Amino acid sequence: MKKQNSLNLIILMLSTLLMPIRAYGYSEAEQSVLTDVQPAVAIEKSTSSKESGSVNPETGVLQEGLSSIFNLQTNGSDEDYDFIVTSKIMTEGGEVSGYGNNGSILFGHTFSMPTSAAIEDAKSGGNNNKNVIAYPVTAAITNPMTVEFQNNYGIHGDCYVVKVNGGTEGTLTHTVGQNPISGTYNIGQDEAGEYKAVVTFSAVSK
Amino acid sequence: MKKKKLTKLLPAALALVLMSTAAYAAPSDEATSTLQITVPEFINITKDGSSTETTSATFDDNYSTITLSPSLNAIFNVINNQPDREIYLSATAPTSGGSTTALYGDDADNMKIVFTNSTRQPADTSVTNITSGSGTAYKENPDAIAFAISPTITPDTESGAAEPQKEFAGNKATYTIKNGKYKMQYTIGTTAEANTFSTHDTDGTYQATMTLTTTGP
Repeated sequence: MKKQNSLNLIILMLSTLLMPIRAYGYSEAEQSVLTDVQPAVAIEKSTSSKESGSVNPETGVLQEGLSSIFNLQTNGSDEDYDFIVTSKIMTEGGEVSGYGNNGSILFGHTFSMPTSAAIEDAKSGGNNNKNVIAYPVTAAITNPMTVEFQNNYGIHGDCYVVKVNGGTEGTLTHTVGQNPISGTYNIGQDEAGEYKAVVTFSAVSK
Repeated sequence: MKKKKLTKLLPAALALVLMSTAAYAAPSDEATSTLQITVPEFINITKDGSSTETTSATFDDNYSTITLSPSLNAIFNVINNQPDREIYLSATAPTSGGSTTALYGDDADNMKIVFTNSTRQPADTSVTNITSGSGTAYKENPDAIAFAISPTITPDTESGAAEPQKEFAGNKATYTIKNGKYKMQYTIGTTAEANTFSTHDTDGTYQATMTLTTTGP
């Protein structure tokens, strides 16, 4: 009986000794964590943009050209995004594209809004475009990025298309010239007041 | 059975997770620049070079009728870029007191103008006798002669101009014009208004000055 008790005691002791070993026993697992870095983009208007100016009412010449400067940062590619610059102008019938057919950007009277017909006339360089004034426009962007004007660029319509060409940072400068496009400023047609165009630089994911 | 259901749900759940991840991971971004141009108010009123500002007078044997030839014409060109702008037509004639208002009439289409002798300038009362009562007696308006005015206002509709609103009050014609270009012509009659020409009107040069301006009364 004693022998049996001793044996039990030994087993108990061994079990006690072994338990911690089991509790802290070595085990190993491997887990691969994959992070999928999605393309991202940030576009910001620079405070150095010059967005307002006054014209000589006799000639329509701006005292100084206007410029919209945008800073672009992206890790995306041209396959990820459409990088586009659009211009909008308000008409009696709503908002329309404000780029003309002749390298121009249109400004519309904010109070006496122009008609769609006046917009179309100014876009084609006509002289029957009450309350619309067109000025030459250019766009440039820092290397290696490029920018080019495109008519009817898919769903975006008339716009400047930026290609990042692998670049991650760029500065786009959208410049409005001082002299109105011939036929689009006429003191008899264009009322005194404020004229507006809205320029937007967008990255639209594909 | 439960295990089978879970297996079926897993692809759908994964798809949902992936879709929401994609939406947040590839956002569109944009910045906007609002460009604004101010076109200040502008108006330019000029006398047209084709105006006829001098003429000669002839008389009948009784010195009771005066006839001008050629007829006088005051022509103004107006260029304006403000809708609903008021401009005013007035006239003065020299008097011994300096000058006085010389325009009168019933309305903007039936105006008259008084010319006064610039060398023997009459008193203001000589002119007001005509402008206030259309010439009550020859002796009351010496050295002052009145003529009718025929206005012809031509809006250049191509420029956006339209027929102006007009009224006559306070010895001035007031025109409310739209933005655009206008030719405003005032032809002076060739014979005098009743009771304003007689032997009380001595020889000399008679003068009146018409002014079209934005400056109101």
